[in-house]
Amino acid sequence: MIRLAIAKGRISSEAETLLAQAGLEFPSFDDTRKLIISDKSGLYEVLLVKPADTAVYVETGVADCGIVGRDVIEETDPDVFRLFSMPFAQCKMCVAGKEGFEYKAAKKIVAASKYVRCAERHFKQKQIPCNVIMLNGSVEIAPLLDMSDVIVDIVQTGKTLKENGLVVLEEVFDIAPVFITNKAALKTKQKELYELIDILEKQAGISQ
Amino acid sequence: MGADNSKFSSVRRKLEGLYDRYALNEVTIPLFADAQLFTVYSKTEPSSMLKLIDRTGKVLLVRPDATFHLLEEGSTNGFDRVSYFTEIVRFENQAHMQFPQSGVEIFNDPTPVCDSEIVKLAQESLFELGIKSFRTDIGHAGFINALLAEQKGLDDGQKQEMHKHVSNKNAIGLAEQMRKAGVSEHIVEAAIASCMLFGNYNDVIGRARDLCLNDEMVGALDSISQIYNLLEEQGAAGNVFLDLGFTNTLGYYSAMIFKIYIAGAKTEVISGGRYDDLASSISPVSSACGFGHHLGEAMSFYNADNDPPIKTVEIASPPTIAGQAAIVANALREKGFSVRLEGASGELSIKYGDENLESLDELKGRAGV
Repeated sequence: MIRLAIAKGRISSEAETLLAQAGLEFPSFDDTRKLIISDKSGLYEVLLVKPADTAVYVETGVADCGIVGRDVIEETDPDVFRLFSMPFAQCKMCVAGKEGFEYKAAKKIVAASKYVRCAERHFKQKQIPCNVIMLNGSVEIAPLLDMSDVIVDIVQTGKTLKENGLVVLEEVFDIAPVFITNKAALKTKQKELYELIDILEKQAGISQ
Repeated sequence: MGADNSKFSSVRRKLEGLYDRYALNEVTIPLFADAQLFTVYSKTEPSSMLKLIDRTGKVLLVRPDATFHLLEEGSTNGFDRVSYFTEIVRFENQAHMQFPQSGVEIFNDPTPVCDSEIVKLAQESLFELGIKSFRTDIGHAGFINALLAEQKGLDDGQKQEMHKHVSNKNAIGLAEQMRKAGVSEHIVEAAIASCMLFGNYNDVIGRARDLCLNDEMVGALDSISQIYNLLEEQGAAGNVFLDLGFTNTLGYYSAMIFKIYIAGAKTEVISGGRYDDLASSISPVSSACGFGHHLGEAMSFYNADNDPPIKTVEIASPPTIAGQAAIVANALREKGFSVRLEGASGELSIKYGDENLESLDELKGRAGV
């Protein structure tokens, strides 16, 4: 039996469709209040978990594999194999701020973000001295009230930024769901995991 | 806790017997290590280690690792085959935790014979515990090192990051970083392919040879082949696979790297390899190869109930025959019995396993002493 941890939300909705198209029959993820769901064959079990916890379940071996956004992987740097990206729920990690703000010219900036490590790493690479304030949500408020110069956050359509008078100043990296595995599980359950990987890659149109 | 202690004792006895058969000297790992020396040796992040400051102001680490001390033993006492049992203190899950660990190091033998001896002994240490379902993956740090060396101008930080991507089989991150760094496309392609070079020996070694861009990469594969062939000759290659994605992330291993996974375990139970460059840079030891056995993980698969039972005897003796009782107790202990002798104000009482016996003579007869 393979246990798959999936980040609840947009990723689980898209993954559910993909698994169903591949012939793996699960009860609807949205209709059930269960957090552990088995498929009809009994070969697969899905754990529906918070995005930030998905990699933890895989790293500790509670789940053999998982599907989680690259944002979580980049921020938490779990000790897992990161085998391939999936072509749905795509977005970007961006630096955003008030239009016209030349943050690259600033001697030092203050950034607000839920993704502190990603932000610190990005500004370090750019050699821009930066103080990152950790916020758990609604980060767009920070530059509006002069709490920060910029934010580092996920941008999907850019609508929230626009409604708050902010614009993308720089793209940091592309985000897509990543298929991850526990390092021991890929060795000890290689055959079973490769069967699932084949199913997902074929269904998602990914070529090796 | 009592049951775990008994299990640990049983595991330790078994491994000690095995290590004796491999002519290893057991050494004791001290509780503290000099932080400054250790940081040079380990290249790991010292902020995650538990520290103390002694009265002279020197910073000490609380048992962060065993190999560091073993290298000192190898240098100062001339031991070239050592084993140990200890508790390692590491920061995991937001707390400093103790992990039982055993291990083996062989110094000053740079040959594939030593490499195969280490891998074989690691496998034997699981067989010894009755664990038969496991797989051994072997790789070589030199393979990726030599591949990245093809691209001139990469700094240590960039290489370290690339090693990390390979060891995480993160082809996407690796490709992104290499292309950003301006690495030639044929090297990028070979590196991406190397991420997934793991599995059956014959299949992987063939694919790996097709990726070789220089003699050093070929040399790394030749070295693995020699080790594999030696294991095969001993009938120990049945569960051996290759993983050329094992890399030298922390600058520790310089050649063969291996990991052993038990089916159902959440992480590898044994990891090890050859670290000649590091050993020779910080000690007079010219070469070093060894492994660490993560006993906590292995113990959860070890069933002490399968051990032959140790017969237990309880003697409660009145003062009048206390001397005779002590002589019988000692004779039984020499034969391997576990004997509890205590004084009693009333009559003699003897328990032999679950049975009650009447006299010391009856006990001697039953125990054959």
